[in-house]
Amino acid sequence: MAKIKIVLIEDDEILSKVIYEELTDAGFDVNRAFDGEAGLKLVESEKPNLVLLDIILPKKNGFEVLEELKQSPQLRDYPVILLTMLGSDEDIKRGLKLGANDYIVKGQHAVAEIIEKVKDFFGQESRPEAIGSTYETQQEKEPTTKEYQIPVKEEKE
Amino acid sequence: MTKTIKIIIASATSFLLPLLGFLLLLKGGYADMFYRNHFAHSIVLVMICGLTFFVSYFAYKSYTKSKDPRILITSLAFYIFGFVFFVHAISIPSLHVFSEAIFDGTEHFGLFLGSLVLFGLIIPTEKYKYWIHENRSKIFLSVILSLFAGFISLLLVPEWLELLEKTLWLPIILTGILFFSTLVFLIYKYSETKSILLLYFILGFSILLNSSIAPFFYQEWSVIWWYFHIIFLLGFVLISTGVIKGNQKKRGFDVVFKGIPFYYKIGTRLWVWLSFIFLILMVIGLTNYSRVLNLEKAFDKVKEESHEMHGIMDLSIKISWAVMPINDYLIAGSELEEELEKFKTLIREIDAKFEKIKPLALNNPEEERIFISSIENYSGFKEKSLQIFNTPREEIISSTEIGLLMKDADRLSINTVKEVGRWHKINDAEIIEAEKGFSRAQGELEFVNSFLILFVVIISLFLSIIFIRSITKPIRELTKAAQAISRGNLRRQAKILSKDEIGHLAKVFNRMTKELLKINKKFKEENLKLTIKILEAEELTKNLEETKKATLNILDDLSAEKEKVEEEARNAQKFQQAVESSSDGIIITDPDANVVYVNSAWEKMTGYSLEEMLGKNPRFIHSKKTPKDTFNKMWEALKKGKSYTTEDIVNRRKDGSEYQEHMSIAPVIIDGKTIFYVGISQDITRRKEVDKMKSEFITIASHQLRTPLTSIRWVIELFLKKEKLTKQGTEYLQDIHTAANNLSDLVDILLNVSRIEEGGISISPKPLELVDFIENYLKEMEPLYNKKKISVSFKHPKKLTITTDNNALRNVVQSIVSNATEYTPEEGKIDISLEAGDDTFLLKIKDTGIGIPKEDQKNISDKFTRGSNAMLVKTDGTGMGLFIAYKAVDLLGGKIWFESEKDKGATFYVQLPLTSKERKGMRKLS
Repeated sequence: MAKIKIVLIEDDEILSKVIYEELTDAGFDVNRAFDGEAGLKLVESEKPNLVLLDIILPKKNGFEVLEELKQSPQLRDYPVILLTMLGSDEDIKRGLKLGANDYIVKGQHAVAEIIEKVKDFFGQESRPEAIGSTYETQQEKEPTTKEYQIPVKEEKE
Repeated sequence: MTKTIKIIIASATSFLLPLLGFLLLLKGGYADMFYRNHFAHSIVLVMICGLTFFVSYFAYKSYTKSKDPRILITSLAFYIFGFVFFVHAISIPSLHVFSEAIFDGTEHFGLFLGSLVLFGLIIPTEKYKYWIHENRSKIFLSVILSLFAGFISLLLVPEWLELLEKTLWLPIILTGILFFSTLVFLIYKYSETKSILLLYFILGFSILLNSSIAPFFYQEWSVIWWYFHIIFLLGFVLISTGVIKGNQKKRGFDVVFKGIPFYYKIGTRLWVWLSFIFLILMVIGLTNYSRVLNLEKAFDKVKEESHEMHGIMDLSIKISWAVMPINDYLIAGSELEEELEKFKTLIREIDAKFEKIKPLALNNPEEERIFISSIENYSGFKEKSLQIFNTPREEIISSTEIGLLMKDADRLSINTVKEVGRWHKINDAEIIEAEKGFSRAQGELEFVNSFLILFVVIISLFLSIIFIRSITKPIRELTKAAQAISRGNLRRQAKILSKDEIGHLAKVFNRMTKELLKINKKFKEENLKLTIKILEAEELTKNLEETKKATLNILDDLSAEKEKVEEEARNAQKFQQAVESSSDGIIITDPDANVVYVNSAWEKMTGYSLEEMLGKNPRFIHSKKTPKDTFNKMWEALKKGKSYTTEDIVNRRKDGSEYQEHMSIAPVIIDGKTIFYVGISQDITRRKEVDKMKSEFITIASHQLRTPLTSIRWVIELFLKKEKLTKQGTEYLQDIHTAANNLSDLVDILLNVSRIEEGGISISPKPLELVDFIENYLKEMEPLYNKKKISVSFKHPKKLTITTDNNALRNVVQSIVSNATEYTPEEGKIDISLEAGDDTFLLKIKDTGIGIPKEDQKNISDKFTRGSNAMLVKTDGTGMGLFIAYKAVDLLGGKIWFESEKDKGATFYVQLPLTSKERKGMRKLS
């Protein structure tokens, strides 16, 4: 079975490295980019199951990247979790409005908690499987989620 | 000619026109033409019915708006009309619903009832206006019910119905009288109000007035009877149009009885159209009338083809006329012989004439045929007539056939005679002959009259149109002129030359516009003078104020009078200089907020000079960026005699640029009266900008600080997880991790401060279990307490659910409890207690710490301020904790205070509402 693909767009090299290592250890297939433009290209080529996106980035900031992703018919369906350092209200609201699925405040959490949150994201996504009727609608809405639900479950077991 | 006379003429014309039409029909022999069609009759009635209900409804609607009882009366009257016409319509004999007596009676009786109610217009009801309006539904209902009751009683008590039928002439006459009285009143009212709506009423009722005259002259189902049905329908159409037009004009209906006249145009047009309908009706009537003359074709043929034949007709006429006196002899019983002689002479003359005509008539076979038949007819008639004359008197009387013939020959109408003749089987030819002669004789006479009548009708029609147009034309001109003037064309004059009231009005109107022009010019000049005077007066007031002060001083101390005055003057001068040279902008206004003084700093700040501002309300310099409630709050304070300070006002300079203002405004009150408002302003745009930059800097700095801190923490976390370390190595790394965490917290605090500084913090209250909340926090702190051996007690109710902002509350509890912990020495005590009130709860945090020295207590909540003794205990405090706590409590709508003495610990009290209000904002405390 294929691994769950994650694209991590984070400019701080150390932070990026830590998250990369932890996610790889947890069994994810992680690809990294260090600025907005490279990040967009990476998303396009990798077709990931999740994009972790920092807000303050060189070349194109996180909001711009998010906007472009959501405007492109091909890239629109990839789920995005925003990474913010300060967790200011305006940033979070703006990100969610632009279509981000969730956010993580880096400065407030230990790295382990962040990995948990990513795992939770997939766990949550697979939850509808247990409930027959809602699963149908979920499946129609986001057909991409179906593919990676199974490996996560296996890993957890 | 006054307008009233004109309207009387118009009214008379509308009464007379249908009447003339009626007379023409009557004389034209239509009284004997019958057209029995119940269905057509019901249709006409339903139309009338619909119109009257419509009028009633509209009038009622209008009444609820205007509350004029007279309109209610109109509504009621028309309801009654509608009701009885409806009953009349459904009681047509062919339907067999009600007896024919009801059919006959309801129409006239209904008109009478309606006109009786309508007569109520004359009664001044102003006094009972409100009582009537309150009980309007009851009044209406009782009228409806009594109508039903009356109707049902007619059905149940046949004697009443009989009485009604016998005395039908009474309601008919009464209706006429009532209509006439109402009409007089309406005309009187019209002369007062000039309402065109009233014109409709007047014309309509004038037409309806015929209803009290005509019924005596026609029989049911006759053509005239039908004619009047149509005429009455027209009358109701006229009234309905008036009511509807009145309602459309909104104010319309209540100007029926008072107010301004309105649309004359429609009134005129409608009347002209109606007049034409009458005219057409009359032309039709006349044509038919002459058709009556052509009824006798044989005679006409003779007339057309031979002049000489005319004699035959003359003779026949004479014969028929000669028959007439026989009646008288039958009754008088004398001079029969003499008359017989006359008759015989007449016959001889006729015979001679026939002889004379004979050769002329024989030129043409057709003429000959007619001639011979005429002769034959004549001979038969002659014979019969002679027979009558020769029969003894008694015999004639006993012979009912002939008696009836003779008795009725001249009195009954053509059709009747014909019928009687046939019925009695008397020689048809003779009867027809008599009949021909009869109608011919009358016809010739009436023909001349009818043309006279037609002439009068056309003249009166023409006159009435001219009258009505002349009523309305000047009004139209006046309206146009008034509209032009209202649009600003003051030179427009009304071009009306008539000498009646309107002409007079126009003259006055023109004079008025001239005056208006003059006044306008004068006003402009006066305005200029006034402005100068106001400025002078202001100067004077200022001087007066000074004099007043001086006078007071004289009274105070007479001995030091001179010095005092001088000193006062000096002081005033000094004071003025001081104010003038103040670097803060100073503005003084009168109690109505009009500027009386601004100093040069203010001038410089705004770009407006004192001269420009004098007498003006300074509100025009406020930019829209100023929050709306700022000035409301300001005036609220000022009205209470309190001063008000704000930093919210954004103003616009003369050059259009904007600046933020710090303003303190205070009322100057002397003897309980506000004389001035004094405002002191500073341009704080720069300061605000710096504040903002500071906040932004802190935000960026926080971010920049946090990134490496997070890196450190996360790398240590990875290190601890992945690498095998000695116990000591692990401890070292954990220490670094703790330090990084502390640093991170500090960054959080800095970030909160910057957010508070920038303003716009949002508060989003959510339900929260407070006891658990505090216990959880204490549990977090436990390692620290254990380390310092501090005993902590928490007294609390079992549960306390509040609605508040989680983050703001955490900031309050955190900073106060952590302060208590920080500044309490080892083995100290912290007592926390929680009490719930009705709307608030009180959190008390008592410690045995170093306390806050008296001299620091005032400023302890300021940023970066720490107790002077705090540095001795803990060097790394920021002085931010209490600042944030105070601000957060304020945002949650609560209070915070403390009691403390140096070295004796401190007790902080936090009182917060159980439910905090939501507050919109851009930022949230972290």
